[in-house]
Amino acid sequence: LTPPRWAERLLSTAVDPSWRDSIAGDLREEYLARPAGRWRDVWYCFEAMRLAVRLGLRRRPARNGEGFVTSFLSDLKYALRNVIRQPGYSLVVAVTLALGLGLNAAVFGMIDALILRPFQFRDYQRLVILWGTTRGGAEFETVSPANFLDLRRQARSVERITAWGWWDATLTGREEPERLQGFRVSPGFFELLGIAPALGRTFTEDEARPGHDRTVVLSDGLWKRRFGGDPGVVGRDILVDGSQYRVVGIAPPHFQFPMGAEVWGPLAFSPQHAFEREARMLTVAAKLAPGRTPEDAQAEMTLLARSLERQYPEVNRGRGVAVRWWRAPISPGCCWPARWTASANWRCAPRSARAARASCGNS
Amino acid sequence: MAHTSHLGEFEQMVLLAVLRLRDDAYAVPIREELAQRAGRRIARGALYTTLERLEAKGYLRSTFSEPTAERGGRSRRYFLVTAYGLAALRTSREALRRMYEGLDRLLGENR
Repeated sequence: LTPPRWAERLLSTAVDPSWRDSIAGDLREEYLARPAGRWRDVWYCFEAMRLAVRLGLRRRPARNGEGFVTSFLSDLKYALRNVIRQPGYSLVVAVTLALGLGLNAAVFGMIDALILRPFQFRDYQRLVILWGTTRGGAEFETVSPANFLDLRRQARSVERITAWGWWDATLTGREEPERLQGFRVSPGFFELLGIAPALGRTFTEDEARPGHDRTVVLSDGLWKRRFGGDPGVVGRDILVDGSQYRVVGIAPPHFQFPMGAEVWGPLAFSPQHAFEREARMLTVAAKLAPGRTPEDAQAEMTLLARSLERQYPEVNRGRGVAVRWWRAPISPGCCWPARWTASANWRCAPRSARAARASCGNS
Repeated sequence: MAHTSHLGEFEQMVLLAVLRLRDDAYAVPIREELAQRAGRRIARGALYTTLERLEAKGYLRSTFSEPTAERGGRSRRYFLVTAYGLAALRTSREALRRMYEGLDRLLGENR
């Protein structure tokens, strides 16, 4: 015998308080005067919505002046008229706003990643980056495959030495081909960071051998975007760079280290690459062995670098190895902490980019 | 404060309906009166907007009845035409009368 409550509430919310009782009461009175049945409810809902829209748009606050919605709509109309009348000026304003908002979002993203919410890697206090150095430590650079393998084999002050290098992967075979931000990572990469896959597994030592390296781990974003979040994709073959790769795992949500990575493949060295000392393309990270300090690791790395210099003087002359915490400055002349390169790239860059895109779109 | 000025056609009709209904002039019968006597089916929202405007101009005054269970514990809002409202109706009627004056034959031919 009573009208639908939600419709009654809608009407009461939309209508000016000074008219609320009389209007809702009138409509209820008319509702009761109609023949009972479902159509009566439908009629009530329709009329309540009509009244809510009509009277809600005209609603006035207690003080003199126009209602918020009316005022907003007239402001919107005025703004649109000005945009049409002065397109050049409007474009300048829009670009300025977009740049301002984008910059703001980027700066906040950096502060968020560096200060508000630092690393979420497990034991990140023990994580170090091993940089190759030149000119007596004045410049930092990445490491060659052969030097990386030697360091991994001989170092004792650090454990789980792992490396990664760029991989411009192209996903084909489904929908449009897509260029992906990929990285070849050595086994132990995910374990070093304390990252467990959301589905499947990470890479095994066996997959670091040429011919066995046709496996990939997909980022959560790529998995959802291109494969609809289908768990069945794990164990299935996909086409990357025109070759079949088996999906062995899905990374946890938001993990895109390094540099917004969307796909990871195992870093396998062919015999030719294993002896490559001139192509310095790997970033090397490690975890300090229990009880060891960065100074211990640095002392050992200095000895190992001298040994490498003696063995291969033509490519390692004047080169060393620097151990840096991910929080420490990467060089005396550079105030950007190494954490920036890791955390900021993982967390801040994609978020800032999204925020900047949203700002640009909104403005 | 209110001014005695010309009324729109719909405003005149609403004021006349309120006068006709005397003590029973609230929105529901006002709308029925307009439908039956003037043949105008008007939207509820338009009627409330007009009532509100006429009251704000001082042509109408409203009072509330006791709440009733039939209306879910809500009051009726009854309307009365004020002296300003009556004066405005007279002014509008006089203006119309002057405009119609001398046009009886022409308007009669069109019928």
